[in-house]
Amino acid sequence: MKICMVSLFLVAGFAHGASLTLDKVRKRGQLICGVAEGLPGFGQPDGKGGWSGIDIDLCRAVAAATLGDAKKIKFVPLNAKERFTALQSGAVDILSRNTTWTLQRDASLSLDFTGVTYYDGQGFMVKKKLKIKSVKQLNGATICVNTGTTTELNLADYFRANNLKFKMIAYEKNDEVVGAYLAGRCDAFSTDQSGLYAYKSAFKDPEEHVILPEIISKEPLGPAVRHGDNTWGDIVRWTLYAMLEAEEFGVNSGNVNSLKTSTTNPSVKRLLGLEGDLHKGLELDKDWVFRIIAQVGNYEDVFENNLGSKSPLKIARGQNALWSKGGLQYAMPIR
Amino acid sequence: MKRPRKVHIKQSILWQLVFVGMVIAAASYGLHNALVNLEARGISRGFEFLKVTAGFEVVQALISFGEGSTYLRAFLVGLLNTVYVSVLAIVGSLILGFLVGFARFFAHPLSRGLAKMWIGGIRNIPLLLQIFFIYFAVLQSLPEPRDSLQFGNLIFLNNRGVFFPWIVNGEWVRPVLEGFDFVGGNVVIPELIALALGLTCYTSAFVGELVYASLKSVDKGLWEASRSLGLSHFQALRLVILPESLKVLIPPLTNQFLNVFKNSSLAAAIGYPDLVAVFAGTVLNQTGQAMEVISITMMVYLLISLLISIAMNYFNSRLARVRRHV
Repeated sequence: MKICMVSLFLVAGFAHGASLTLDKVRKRGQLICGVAEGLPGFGQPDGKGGWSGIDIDLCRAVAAATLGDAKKIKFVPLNAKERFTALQSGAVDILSRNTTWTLQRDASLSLDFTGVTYYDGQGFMVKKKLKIKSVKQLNGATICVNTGTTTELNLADYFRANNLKFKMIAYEKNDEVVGAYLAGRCDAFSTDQSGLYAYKSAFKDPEEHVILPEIISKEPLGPAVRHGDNTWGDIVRWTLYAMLEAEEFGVNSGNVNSLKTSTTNPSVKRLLGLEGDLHKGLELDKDWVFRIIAQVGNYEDVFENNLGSKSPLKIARGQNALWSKGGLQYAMPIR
Repeated sequence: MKRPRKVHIKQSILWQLVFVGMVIAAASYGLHNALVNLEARGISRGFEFLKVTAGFEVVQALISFGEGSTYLRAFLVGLLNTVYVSVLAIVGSLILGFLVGFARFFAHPLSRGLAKMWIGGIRNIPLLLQIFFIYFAVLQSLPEPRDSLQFGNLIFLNNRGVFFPWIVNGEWVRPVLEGFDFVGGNVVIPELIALALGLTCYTSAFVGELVYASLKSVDKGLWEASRSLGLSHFQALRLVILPESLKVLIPPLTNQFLNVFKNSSLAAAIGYPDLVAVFAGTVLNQTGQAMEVISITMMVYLLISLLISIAMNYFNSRLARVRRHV
């Protein structure tokens, strides 16, 4: 504990100069990334010795930006209890593990969240044969949840606010929640909506279940770094922004090579490092965005591959569409 | 001879004091360390949180629990649910255990074989697996509320539980299907059925073996003596053998009761709202006050286990007195 505190002070003390984490990563030649133990679409072993998911791709993008190679990376699977300690103690350089950004975590746990990779929220799944279209029709229903975080409280708050009665059964593990829901113990199953899509895709008869449109809580999921190393925080923050900005300008993994030589658009030129010296502030070289897009892809590529149409989950962009298309994803301008 | 013995006693007292001192020192160092670290991280502590509104729902509450209820109330709800399922399982396992023990004791090969199979099978499968098996078997085999099995339009059985009429405000209220579920009357939820059944079956195997062993431990001569006094087989068992066997039975039986009580904490796995699930689960998660919640929970388990032991010891010593009078 003491060593941990001392290292925190050290980090804080040196934060004004060069980035300790960046130096460490470069010296090691490898980025160490804390990820989920197995959540489809976000972070799970892909069965070929590697990892896949949107949280995984964010780490790969950071590795491409800082080390020049998206493969120079070690993934450390962490459970919900270990994750913050692993980051605080320096066991991982970045935590990219479907973690909700909250005030308590940002301020009390010595962490800094650098952005939102996925806007999530608590949702509901019901069996299709019930012919239910809205959570408001669930008056008197029994709802199965996984005990933990704020699921139970969100549920009670929402139902009370809408004058609906309900019964809640809370299980310790997700497998039992799914088992009980499928066995008919409850009418609805409630957890983060992305999780519902992930479980649904693994059902024997996914078309027999519907995910209701309402989202009853805010769960912005994003990467976190240690509080105090601002340059490292900036690198992770702008890596995500660069991927979003690339989508906005229509730069993707398929056309980035040709655009690099042919583009006349000044914004794209700036993004790809053909003009200006924006990279210097981040202590990176001018090709950092080019490498991210070429090796990993823009936000759209990453979303569609892991969560969207090219994945088994088939999640619509919804809130995660760009701001210009009615969503919440808004990158600060790269200029 | 006397003097060195006194020195020996003094010495041993000294060593014991040193040992107790070391234990206290280690414990207070640990506590101090924990408090300092919590302080340094800005993590709040204390028992004030018990007065805060809990906000969540519990599916089975023996005392009223709702919107404005506090975390303290949630603790009581969990505790009562733990006691409730433990009492059911202790009574159940006692009845079933005695049946199994007698069946194994008597010479009839069929009864003996069945009892042996029961004990061998149940004892050697982890309890958690048995509870899962019963829970999902119960859920799978029961119909949905709309297709409930019904008994005289009064009692309804489905995968949400057993619904039956109950007195509400001095009047009998019959359960009626309304929307998703039955409303009115009272219900026994499948989680309670599965947990009580699982604990009962598992413990009955151990109790059965204990009953068998205690009956076996009674001297054969007592059987022969009672029979020669003209007592029937059953009378001999009831008046002589059974009372005598209790002497051997009670102490290990206490252990089984304690096991039932502690094993009931497996409830969280199947969603039964016991003390661990409600208090050391949901409340802990919502308040983040792990130290306080876990210490309260441990103290409660310790306290109730001690109470069970004291009660059983009292019962045992009373039996011993009665025996002496005879």
